[in-house]
Amino acid sequence: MIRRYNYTGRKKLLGIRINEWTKKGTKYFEVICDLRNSGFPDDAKIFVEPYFKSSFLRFDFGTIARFQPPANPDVSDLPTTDHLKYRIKVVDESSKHGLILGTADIRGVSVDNPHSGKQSILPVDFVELGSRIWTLEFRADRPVLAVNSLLTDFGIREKVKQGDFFTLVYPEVIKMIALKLVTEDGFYDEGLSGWQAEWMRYFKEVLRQTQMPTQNDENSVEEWVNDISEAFARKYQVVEHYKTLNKTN
Amino acid sequence: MVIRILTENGINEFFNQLQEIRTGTRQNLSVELLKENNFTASFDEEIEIEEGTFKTKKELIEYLCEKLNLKNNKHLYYHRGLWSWLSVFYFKDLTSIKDGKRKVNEDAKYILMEPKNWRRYYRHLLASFARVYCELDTLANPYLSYPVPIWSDLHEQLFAYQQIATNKPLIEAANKLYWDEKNSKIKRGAGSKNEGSPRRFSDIVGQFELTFDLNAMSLDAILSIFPEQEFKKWNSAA
Repeated sequence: MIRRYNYTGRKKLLGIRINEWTKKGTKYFEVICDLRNSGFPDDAKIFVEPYFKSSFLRFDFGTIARFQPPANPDVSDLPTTDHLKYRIKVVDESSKHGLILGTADIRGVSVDNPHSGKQSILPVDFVELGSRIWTLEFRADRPVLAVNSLLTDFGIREKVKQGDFFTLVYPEVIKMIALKLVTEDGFYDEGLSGWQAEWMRYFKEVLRQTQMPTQNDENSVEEWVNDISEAFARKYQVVEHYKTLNKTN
Repeated sequence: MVIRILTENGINEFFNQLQEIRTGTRQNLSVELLKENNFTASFDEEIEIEEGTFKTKKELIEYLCEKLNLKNNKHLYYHRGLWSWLSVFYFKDLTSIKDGKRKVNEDAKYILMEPKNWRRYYRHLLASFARVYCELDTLANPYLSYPVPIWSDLHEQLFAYQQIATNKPLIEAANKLYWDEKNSKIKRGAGSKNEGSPRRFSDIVGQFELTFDLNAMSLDAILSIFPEQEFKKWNSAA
């Protein structure tokens, strides 16, 4: 279990919602919040920073007493993604040091697709991937199956979780996640938390893989990750699906 | 020559030819990569550019920014085909010759890989510096003072992080520490990994960010929170 300590006196901002929508190919957002009764000084500034990985934008949203969102803030200068996150900062600019008084780090909810806020154990994101079709990314909060956004015009959104793509790609993805888990601190002493704990639960309760590999034994680890991948393929009958999908008359 | 843009096919060919130069099977890029319809397409505007002798990055970047009117066309920052084509056009300026062989760096220095992904974007020898020039004005001088093909450690340590690169007071602070304004050159030792070096500067900024909103701070306020003992020699050294 990772314990976090906050020595800074910074408050966690609660009750904030970010709505996102797309118009003519450009993604916009709005921030819904009321921080007037949160105990911050009236003149404390509010900044919102939409970000994805190491790229971010910054918008001035006025002050606690005078919340002034910019007109139609758009995020088109950020990489293409369905998983944009937003840092909200309340900053004391009255002292010389620009102290952060409160922060929040939240995901936006697409008003075009209200279910987008639901978090899957393996979310799919459509991003710039150059010449590749997919890759598995281990982001800060969980693994994400990243798929090339150039293919969204070719129906890839619908094809990812079904059909050939699923049968050919997912068993290997599951293996990559299992392999990553083995190297995490706390794997062998049931000390996992966060997404790592969620995936272990999935392996044990859904895929029924309760056996653990032997520590420091490469062969045992390789066997374990292959067993996990095999159990997944068996559960979702990927070979049968593939045969059905590609049956020639 | 009139500016063109590389198509995806042209970019693939650029990748191939870079690799061939690295392995020694080719000495230079082919002329076709600049103008063949198979590899290129016309740009939105008809802009004539010329080859030249550019002693520093600043000379080349200033020239390109004026030609593209980049300060008023910031959407071009992300134009993968444009910046990749410009790299082909100025390839001899962007590379150097060592032991009779053209020295080629990683692909991302010449091909704009993922234009909106900062960690990739900042590596491009033209797009990245052109943006720095447009956004930072004279604050960009230290980073443009090097010869065109040079990738300085100072640039690497500061501009790899968007939170530093787009924060003017932070760059001003870095300039105050590592740039000798009087003699227009980087202070001696600024490329080291020792105490107070640019590497430490970016590490410390990462820690400060948890507590301070550095974008909301002035130059003096930023400098006042840096550990005095570690950075004092840079604050005065020439």
